[in-house]
Amino acid sequence: MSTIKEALDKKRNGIYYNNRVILPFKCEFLKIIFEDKIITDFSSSSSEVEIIEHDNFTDVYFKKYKDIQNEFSKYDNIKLIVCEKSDDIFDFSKHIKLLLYIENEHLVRIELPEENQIIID
Amino acid sequence: MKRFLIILTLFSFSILFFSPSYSLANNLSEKTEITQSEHSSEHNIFENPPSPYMVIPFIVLLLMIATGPLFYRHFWEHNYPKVSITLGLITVLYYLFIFNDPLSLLHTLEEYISFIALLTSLFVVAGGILIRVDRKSTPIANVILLFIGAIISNLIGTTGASMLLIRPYIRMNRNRIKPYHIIFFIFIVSNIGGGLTPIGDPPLFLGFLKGIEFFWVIKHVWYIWLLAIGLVLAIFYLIDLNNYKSKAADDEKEYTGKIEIRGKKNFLYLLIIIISVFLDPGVLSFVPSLDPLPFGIREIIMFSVAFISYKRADKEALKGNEFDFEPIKEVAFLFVGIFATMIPALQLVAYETHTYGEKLTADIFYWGTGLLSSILDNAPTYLNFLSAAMGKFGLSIDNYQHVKIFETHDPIYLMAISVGAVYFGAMTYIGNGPNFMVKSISESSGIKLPSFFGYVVKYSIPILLPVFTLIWLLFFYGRG
Repeated sequence: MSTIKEALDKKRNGIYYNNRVILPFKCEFLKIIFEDKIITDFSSSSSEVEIIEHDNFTDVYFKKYKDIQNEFSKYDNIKLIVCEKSDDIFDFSKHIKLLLYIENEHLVRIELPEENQIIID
Repeated sequence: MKRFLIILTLFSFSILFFSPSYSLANNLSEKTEITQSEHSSEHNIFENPPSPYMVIPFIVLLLMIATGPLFYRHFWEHNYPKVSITLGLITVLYYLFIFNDPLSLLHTLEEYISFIALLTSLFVVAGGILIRVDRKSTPIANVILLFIGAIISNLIGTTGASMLLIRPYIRMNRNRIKPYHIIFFIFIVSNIGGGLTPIGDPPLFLGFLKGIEFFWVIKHVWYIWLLAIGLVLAIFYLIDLNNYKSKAADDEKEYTGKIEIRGKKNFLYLLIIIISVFLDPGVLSFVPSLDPLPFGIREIIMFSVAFISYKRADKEALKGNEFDFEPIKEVAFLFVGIFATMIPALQLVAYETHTYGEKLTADIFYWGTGLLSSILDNAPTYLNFLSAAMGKFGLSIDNYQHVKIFETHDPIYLMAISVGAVYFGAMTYIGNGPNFMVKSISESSGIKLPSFFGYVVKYSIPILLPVFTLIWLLFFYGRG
């Protein structure tokens, strides 16, 4: 399991522990919107996030928070703009928008946004 | 932590009610007497003002509200409730045990509950309405939406109108949205628009609670409002037209022209809230008073409507709006501190201006209220300057009859203060509550907005300041 499409098709959830979110796929990150912070610096010196890629999953550490569960209500979410590893990152039509809902018991529900939900690329 | 804060809040309220120096029930008749009598509490204030040092908690709180989200955001986000309640508690204890004026605390508590009941109910009910506008984003469509927003903000408040319209506005403009779209929304819907009624903007509602007639503002400033809105919309149109011409070719989508609304039943709840604003024993004599309780029928209705509307809300609408109680929680905690700490500030302003009030003109009230409303919250600023203007004539803001005399005596001062407080709230992100909310919603949708100083230098100073200067020259210069 390593592509976004496979994870969405099989309705796989991510998990989180404190400030670590584990996503069940690998991808190229373009933008993370965490509350009202727009994060685009994914270099190793970023003060906001650290991304570690593994064979079948990806770790995202939100460095400024102890426990991300405290930051989100049940209607609130983390927004991602990402791209499949195999796709052309320069083609805007290949950019994928995802919503991560922080649920109880370490669960991260991953959804595509509905028409009502806005994510500006 | 939440439990600690709740206990602390209840503790401070219980001190207020069960303090040995003040029994609410025993002093009810005394309260009425003091409020209505010629020898009322304002005479005590003029003879025996509170210590000037008691303004320090107010200044500290306002400075922290202004600087916290910018310079020490992480600390502020996690500690603002503690900061606000602690500073408020200093004033509460001073008034109870040193200054021996629990009546001022009681008045303030009543005003706080009314204030927060209105804001909470409008916030919750508007959050359950989801509007989708499937129309092409043309400059004229944007102007119409912003103008409708300006009118609606007088019916459901700038907070309610901002909540209701910011997402449909972003959705409509999603293909060509720029920071200026959001900033003009803040100018018009979140601030200037709400300048016609007490429901429109918190400062005017505080004035209404103090005794200013509900329709006073619209009767006296409608033409100023129209000019300000017209000028700002005209500037927006020119900027948006330029953007539209360069991007229109990129938008190939077919639009149905439909406007879809989810959570329509919430409009009924909004109507109930608006009607309940008038359910005050001071406004309608048949409305029963719940004295000695520090709230009335109006507040019970507002909180009940908020609770019922949330419980019965359209879940898709809440999800589409990414509804969260955090913004209203923030307002509730911060205003506990603001309301408490501003008591001595208001009384000292009234005391000082009584002494050299002759020098204070409408120009000073317009620019003074305006400039301070830009960097401090406009609600307490409005009250401070209202208190100062009334002090100029030896009148007290805490006396209902005095407020009635003031609003008819020479309206130019109240006009200058009302316009200054509401309009200048648009000058910065921190000038009015909804500004930050709109910023936060926009950024959480992925729109990068200018920094605090970028907003002021690129937008407020070049666009708003000339408009506000023109208003001053036309309506307030050399008057009063």
